[in-house]
Amino acid sequence: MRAALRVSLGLLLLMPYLIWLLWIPVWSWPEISEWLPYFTTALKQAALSAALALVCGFFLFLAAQGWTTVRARALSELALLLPNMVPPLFLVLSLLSWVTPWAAFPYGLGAVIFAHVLLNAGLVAVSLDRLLHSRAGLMAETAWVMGASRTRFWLQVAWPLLRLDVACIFLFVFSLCFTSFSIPLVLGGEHKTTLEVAIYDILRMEGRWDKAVILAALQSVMLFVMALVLPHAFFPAKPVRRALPFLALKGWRLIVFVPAAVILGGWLAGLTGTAKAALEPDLPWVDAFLTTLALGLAAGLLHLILFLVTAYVLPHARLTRFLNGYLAPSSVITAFALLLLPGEGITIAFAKLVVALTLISFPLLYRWIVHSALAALGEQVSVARSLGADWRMILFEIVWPQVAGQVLRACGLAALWAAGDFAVSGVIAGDLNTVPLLMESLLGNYRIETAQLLMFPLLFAGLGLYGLFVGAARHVVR
Amino acid sequence: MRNRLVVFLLLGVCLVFVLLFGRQVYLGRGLPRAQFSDKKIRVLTYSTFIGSSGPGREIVDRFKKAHGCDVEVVTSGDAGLLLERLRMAQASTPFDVVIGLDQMMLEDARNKSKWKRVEDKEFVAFDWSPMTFVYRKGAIEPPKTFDELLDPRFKGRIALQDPRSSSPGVQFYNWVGALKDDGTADYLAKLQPNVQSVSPSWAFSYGLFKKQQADLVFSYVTSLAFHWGVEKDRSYQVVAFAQGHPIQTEFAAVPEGCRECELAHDFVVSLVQADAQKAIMEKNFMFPVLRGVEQGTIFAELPQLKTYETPSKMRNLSDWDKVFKH
Repeated sequence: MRAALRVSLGLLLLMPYLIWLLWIPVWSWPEISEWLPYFTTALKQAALSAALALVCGFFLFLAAQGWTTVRARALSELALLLPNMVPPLFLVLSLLSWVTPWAAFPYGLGAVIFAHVLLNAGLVAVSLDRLLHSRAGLMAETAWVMGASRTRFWLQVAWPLLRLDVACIFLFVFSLCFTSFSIPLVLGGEHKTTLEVAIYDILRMEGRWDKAVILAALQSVMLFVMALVLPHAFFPAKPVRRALPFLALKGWRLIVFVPAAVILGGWLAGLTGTAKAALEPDLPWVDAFLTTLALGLAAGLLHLILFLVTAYVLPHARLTRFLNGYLAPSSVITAFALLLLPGEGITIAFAKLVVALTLISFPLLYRWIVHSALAALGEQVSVARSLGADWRMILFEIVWPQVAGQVLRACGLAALWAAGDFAVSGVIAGDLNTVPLLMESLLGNYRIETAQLLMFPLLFAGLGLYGLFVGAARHVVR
Repeated sequence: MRNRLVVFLLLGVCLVFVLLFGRQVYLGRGLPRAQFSDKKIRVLTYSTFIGSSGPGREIVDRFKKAHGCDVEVVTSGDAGLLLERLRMAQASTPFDVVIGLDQMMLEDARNKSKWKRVEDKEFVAFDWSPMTFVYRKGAIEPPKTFDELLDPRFKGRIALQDPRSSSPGVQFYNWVGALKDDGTADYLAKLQPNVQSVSPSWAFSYGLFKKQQADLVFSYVTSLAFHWGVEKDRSYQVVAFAQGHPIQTEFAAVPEGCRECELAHDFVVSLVQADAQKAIMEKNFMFPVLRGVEQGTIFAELPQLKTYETPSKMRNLSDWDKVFKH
């Protein structure tokens, strides 16, 4: 049973590739010149983005140690993770709103790297915070009591303990930046800064699905191999209640709110002058709002089911390696693969949309949030097995109560991202109308202000869904 | 513990169904039962045509009522992927109508698929507009000739679209090619300092223009209809060049593999009838192809620009790449 589920889970995640394998009759390799320049630029972009995110994240981590109360630490952690919780297009519009009233936006590699750093520095800071506490928290306090300098602590204690984890954080951020699509497409200008953008070009200009799928596979294989080298969990499940004021950057603690403030402030700045653009009376936003809620909720629930299946079939070394290394192909390739499956009509379109969105975000969320939570329970599971517990009992009595919070948080994020999606929905949704699609339609009909106003119901829907899943953790685990 | 989880999952699934049911009830309010029918045509189009503010929904609803049939609308996301979406569907569930091909896509459409003739044509034009640069009066002194676009006074003020991902981008690139021929790369190189941005889509570049980041944006002459008619703002104007302007035309067609070919034929014909043409004009902000529909509307007041015979094939991108691709 567990073996069959493991295989099914793997096949489900690989489904887009399998569909294309069956559908494309003749394959031809893309010319080196068609992808190598993009590949090298993407490598450069992702490496620089990840390295700078690590540096900025380190400073944010030091600043965050200035917040010492439990509530302040929780708030600062939420602010640091906020950029990763909003749809990428939201970040793009915010950046444009900041710069454009004063100067021409500097499209290109620098802009893409800046956006990626803004997006991921907070994630790095929270990861470092949790890692340092779990690996070297006591040693840090001892070093402090013994009067060790901060430099000495970092060089002689923290770095030897954390360097592998830092490499894993780097790899995760590198993967995010390497496979990024919306940000390079809009902010990259004519610079093709990721393979994803090159893949989109090949589809649009030549309609060559074989080449596009090969490039997507090349990208996935490269990231998979890198992940095999660094298979560690880098995001400890438990948030840290206590700070390490000994390491704090004195007087800099407010900078932890900078990434979130840049994003929210830019959005509010973009709303200036939109007050007159009242929602038009015949705008079908109620329909769009209900569909968005249903879509986000369904995506979150499907994630929950898949995470439960994953928790049930693990531990398993090969599957863990696969889940830690695999990233879905690009949105366009995944969406069109699902379209090739039989079935038509609104219900089928809705189901395909939920599956497509899940296939894209599940591997990412597993790697980021769920893996560390499950990995931490390895010993408990071994003991329970040796005492004769069956796998179902282990799942519901040992694993689930301890990972529910993290799993439901991941499901909440999946729901929030699904609510904000327009790339996959634009291909699969058909007659379905979601708030992001409504916004896209308005943008295409000159109604930019009204589209910006719709960000309110979109945020309301997304954060409401996130809150629903996170809040459910308290009741489900009680 | 397990029971609570199962209850949460069940409640969640129920809530999804309640939301979807609520949506259906909301959409179906006031809909007569006579609208449900066994006959159904499948229409493939781009998302903004059928989107909330596009003309598609009104046209589809009117057609449903008039013909007592159902219409399923499927989108390809962006218009550039229409033919790919069509190619995929041919093996499983073919489409009866395709809406939104532009003249640059027709040759490719002929090569990739076979089409039924409607009113003796493979592709039926349903809207059009000349293309030019839109500006705000008072913000700049508009260029009077094509070469004046290179003037340093426009440094960093022109918003363009990427010809790889946007059909207006293709139109602009072809326009430069038609006017400059071998000098295309040279012209683009001189224009580059004046380019504020090259956006992946028309909507994005127009957004930048509306947010006053750019003073000139390559767009449709009919963009003025929105500003003049809806926003009541006549400060928006277009530049007119003596060399002539390209035209963007949109087409609908019936693929050979259609299942409800007669209904599909009627649907395409309905697109060029007065009520649909009015909806397209007012919501797509494009000129109707049916003469007289624009009379008495803001469209009749729009400037008449000299046009030139727009090529139906995209020019090789090598000149563009020389200048803009790094």
